[in-house]
Amino acid sequence: MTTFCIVSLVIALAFYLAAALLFQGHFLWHKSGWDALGRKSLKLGLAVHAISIVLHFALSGQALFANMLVIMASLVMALVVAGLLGERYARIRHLGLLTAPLAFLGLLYPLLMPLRFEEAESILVEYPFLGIHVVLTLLGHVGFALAFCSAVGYLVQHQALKKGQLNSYLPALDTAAAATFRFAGGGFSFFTLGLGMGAIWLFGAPGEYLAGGDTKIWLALPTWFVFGIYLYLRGIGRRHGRRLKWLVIAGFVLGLINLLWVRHDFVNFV
Amino acid sequence: MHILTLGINHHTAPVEIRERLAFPESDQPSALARLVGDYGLHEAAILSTCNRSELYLAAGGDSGLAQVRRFLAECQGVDVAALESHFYQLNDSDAAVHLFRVASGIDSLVVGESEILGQVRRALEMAQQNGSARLLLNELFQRSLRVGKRARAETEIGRGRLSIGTAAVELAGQVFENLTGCCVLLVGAGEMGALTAQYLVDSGVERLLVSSRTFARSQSLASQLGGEAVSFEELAAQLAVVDIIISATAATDYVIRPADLRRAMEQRRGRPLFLIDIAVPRDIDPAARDIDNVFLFDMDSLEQVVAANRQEREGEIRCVQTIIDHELKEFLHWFNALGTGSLIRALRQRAANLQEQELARWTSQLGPLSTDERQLVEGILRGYANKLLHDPLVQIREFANDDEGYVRLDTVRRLFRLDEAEEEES
Repeated sequence: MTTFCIVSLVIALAFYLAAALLFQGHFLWHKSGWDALGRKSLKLGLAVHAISIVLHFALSGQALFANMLVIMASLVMALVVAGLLGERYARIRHLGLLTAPLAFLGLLYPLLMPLRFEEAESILVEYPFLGIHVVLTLLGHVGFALAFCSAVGYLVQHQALKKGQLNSYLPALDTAAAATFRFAGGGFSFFTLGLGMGAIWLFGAPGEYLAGGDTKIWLALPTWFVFGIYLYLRGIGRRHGRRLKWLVIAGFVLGLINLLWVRHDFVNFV
Repeated sequence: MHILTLGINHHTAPVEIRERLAFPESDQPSALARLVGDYGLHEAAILSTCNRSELYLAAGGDSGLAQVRRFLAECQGVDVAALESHFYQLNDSDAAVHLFRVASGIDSLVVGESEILGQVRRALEMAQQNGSARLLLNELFQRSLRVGKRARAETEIGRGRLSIGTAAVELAGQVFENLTGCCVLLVGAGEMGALTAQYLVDSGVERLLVSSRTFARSQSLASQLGGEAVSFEELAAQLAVVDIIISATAATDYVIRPADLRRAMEQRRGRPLFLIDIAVPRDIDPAARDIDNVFLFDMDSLEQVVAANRQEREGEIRCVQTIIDHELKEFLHWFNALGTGSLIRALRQRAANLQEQELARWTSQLGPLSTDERQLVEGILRGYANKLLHDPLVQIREFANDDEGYVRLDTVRRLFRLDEAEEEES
């Protein structure tokens, strides 16, 4: 089953790569119809990806989020779903342009890492708050990723307009700004709740785990702090413009470092 | 008589150059009077829009162009030699074709736009009012207006609402997805600005402010567009409030300066400000582009927006070209007929002058002639001249129906050195 999962994830990866290239081709060389093909490729990748995850959960007997591969695969899936929904309902026309490469890189990274699909009794069953923490922080990261995509769209459109160029593929500045704020706000809410759940779990966690401190925690706080500053400036300070978007990008990069730099598995805790 | 066109347009010169050669309407009467009075041109008309500054002239020869260059240097205070690479000059049928293309909208920045027809009409009216458009330019401009009307009636070149205004609205859509919540400030109460503002109003902007140097005009335009008038002195304060600014004044200096915008942007807390400068000369200092979150578009920036529009209308442009070819043929027949008549008159006059000169020369050698003798000699000379000119004159009359007639007529003029003779006489 492990082999089947990996093969199907590689197929999904290929679809994401194709989608990323098609979107870039449409954006950079104005190839008409390539974005529609890219969207189809993204959807196909998502379907294969979903089947792989569902079958893995159903047949492997492993607990939810038992290792990095599953965590990242779930995160990527949530990102692609949210991106497609965002394109459709929030009128952020370019999301696929950024979510497709993010999905490709997000899935490529754990596939290249040493795989950890061995049988393991997860501590998630023992500590339900940890499970909720993982799900919520993942949703938070999805929100941050979409905010990042919208912020990049804003900055590219900003640059194009400054040069007097018209780029109707990218969203209007106000739409991109509003989407950045909403996605960041949504992501921040999930992330905050996730951190809260994590804190609750920490009080009941195995003592030796907490003893040396956890890099995840120390890297999560700057992410939370940067997005907090952004939301304060935008929501309460009524600040707008290009510079705020760099805060979103900085927050996303911090979150990414937290996600990729630190090992996220719970197999050895019990 | 020749038709001459000298000018610059958006194809040959950037807005920085075009604005230096713009002719505000208030300056045109004196410029036309000088062209006709001081530079010896028969007729003159000025077509000055945001995309072009062109002089249409009727002159005895090409020498008129050198005079016109001198005129531009004096009138606009520019070093014409430095702008030489941006100029184009066209003669006779090329000049006519050019005006037909302009009037039909296929030479416009926004292909098929409709404002240009009104601008051509106003150029003609201005020249007529100042007595500088008579037979030739009047006919040329009237025919160009007919080409413009036919192009829009018989082809799809003008389908949709095409104008600088629509291009501006499309650009605004890159900053504000939905214009319904936007506040627009129109600076200047001219027609172009009003049209652009009208498109924005039609797109559903929430609030429109109008500001011009004459408050009464602002009020009049504001009531026409359903907006509010604000005094020109309040302009700087309004920069902090509005989302979109359209500037289209006839001012020769900058109306909105970077310092005003920087102050406004501090109050706006980074909220984007979208400025469209459709005035030539420009109203907004281009240094405003360097200010963060300020998006300034001038006439040249609109080129990008309308490039796609040009591609879409390639087929229609070919249809318009057919209309132009047809109208040009008719105009050239008229022009050749006009040229034929004047050439025949000039040739006969030249023959009569030669007769007089020869008679005078022989009379001085033979001594005084009796009336009968004089009539006899005159009759011999006249008969000789008439016989000599008969076949050429028949041929010249046929040139009126020839597509290349004006070229042949010009050759005849050169053969008999008629232009030089006319200049000597004048």
